[in-house]
Amino acid sequence: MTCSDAREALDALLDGELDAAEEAGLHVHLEVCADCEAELKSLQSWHRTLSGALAGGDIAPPAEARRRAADAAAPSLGRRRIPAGRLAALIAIGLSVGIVASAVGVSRASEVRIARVVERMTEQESRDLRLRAANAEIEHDLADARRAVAGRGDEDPAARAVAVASTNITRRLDEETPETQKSAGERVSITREAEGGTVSVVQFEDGRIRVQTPAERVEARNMEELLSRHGDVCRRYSIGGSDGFLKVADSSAGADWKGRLDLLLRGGAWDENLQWEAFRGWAAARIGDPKEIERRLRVHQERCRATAEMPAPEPAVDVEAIAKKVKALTRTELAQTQARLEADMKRLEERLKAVAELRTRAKGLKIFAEDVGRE
Amino acid sequence: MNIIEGSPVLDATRPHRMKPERSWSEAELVDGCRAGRREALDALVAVYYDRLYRIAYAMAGADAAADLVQETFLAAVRAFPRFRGESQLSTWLISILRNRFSLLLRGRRKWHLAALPDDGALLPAPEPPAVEDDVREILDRVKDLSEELRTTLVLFHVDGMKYADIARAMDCPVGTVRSRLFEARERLRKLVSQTETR
Repeated sequence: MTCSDAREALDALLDGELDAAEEAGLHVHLEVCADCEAELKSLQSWHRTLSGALAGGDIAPPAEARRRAADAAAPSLGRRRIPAGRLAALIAIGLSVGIVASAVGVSRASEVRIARVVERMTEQESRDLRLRAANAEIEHDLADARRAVAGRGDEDPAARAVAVASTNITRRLDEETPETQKSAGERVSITREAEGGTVSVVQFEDGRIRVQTPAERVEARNMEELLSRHGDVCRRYSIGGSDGFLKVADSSAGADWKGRLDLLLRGGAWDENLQWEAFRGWAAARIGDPKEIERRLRVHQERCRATAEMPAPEPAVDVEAIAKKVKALTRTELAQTQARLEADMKRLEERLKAVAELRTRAKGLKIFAEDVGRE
Repeated sequence: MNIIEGSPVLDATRPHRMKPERSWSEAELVDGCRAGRREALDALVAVYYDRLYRIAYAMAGADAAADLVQETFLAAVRAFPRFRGESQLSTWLISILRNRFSLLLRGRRKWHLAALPDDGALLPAPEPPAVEDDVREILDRVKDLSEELRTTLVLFHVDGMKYADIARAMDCPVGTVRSRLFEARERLRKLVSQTETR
């Protein structure tokens, strides 16, 4: 053990977190190294000082703080998020709009429409803010993931997996379509006799997949699209797999690891299963025992899934400003705004769902990168 | 199943003490809050408030601690439908607190406190306790650490969490906790010694 290794181990020793083997190695080093022995004494004192400074003192919350925390959270108890939020906003806005409406002689029908538009606009603003916050969070997590494997070189499979996944997530975040290359070469192909004829499945360098059956030829941009758009053909001839790994009935063919990642970069989308597969591949290169590999994978999966439970930030929407804006609209503008909002809401809802999934993927990737970057 | 007796650190002399009238298991607290039961929320706050407050105080200082904890409970109540019980409730709450603190530091989020039924005024920050100069120096310098280093340090020294629990709360490997703690203490020691030699 070098003095540099010993230094971090001394901290863990004082924290009671050193495993037996490392502790034995450290004690051997301490017997021959007076500097580290002295450092241990100095560290003991520093740890005591830190604990005393950070945890000492009579720290008590302000009076009423507990009750206020409970009161602030109480309105959200047991709520189904969107409907209850809408209802609360509608009631609040409806009341204030009602007062204005009665003062200026607006009809009951207009009053309801104003309240409806304010409610929809508030929801739209909230969704918009949530989207932006999630985008920023994803970018932050991806940057952390890239940082964790920085310096490992382009050929390192784990670093390459992080690069591919990070590019895929960013691309889906930007709603870009996968790049296409003209006259792309063949990357992986498989041909098999099935249903009384020859079936061949080919994936090209740009990610495109072509399936030739006795009856027809179908193409898709990637495996995911093939399975969803041509599910009938895939079921009939038992075609499956993922980008870079093709299966037809009981035969399979796959590109090498680097080739698969290239195909994933161009055609695929980084999903949970790909991450588990990448983790298993990474662990298998280091650990011989298959049971230990699966155990490590389960721990990894649990951590990733726990992250998915972390609540997304709730945005603060200025409902009063929205109400003011809506009340200034003419009747025609109000009708147009309502129509536009109804159309936008569905699009935003779908986008939010997609971004929520990407948020989970980015958090998982960060954990993956930290795991593989550590060793 | 973990049975929670109520936090022993609640001060009996304080007004508006919210001691739960009975013991609640974690599952009962979660189910009660999901079902919209106010007494479950009160019990949740009574059990976990002081622990979260001490962590928030060390992370963010006296000015922001109460707001951070209040935000944490609000976010937790909203997120209960997604809580699958795969981690301890306390670890989950601490991970939310950390999330809120991280957002606060990044300045991405305006504080949006729910309106209160009475005055709705912001909580006055408590007077910071009188401390020795060297302790004050350490508390000041902790604020110069990155969020990740600061949170790791606080969870270990203030809450006494084990490495494995910190790793779960911060979604990182145990080895990362160890190296972050090492780095945090080293940096802090340098920062404090630089100030002393000035």
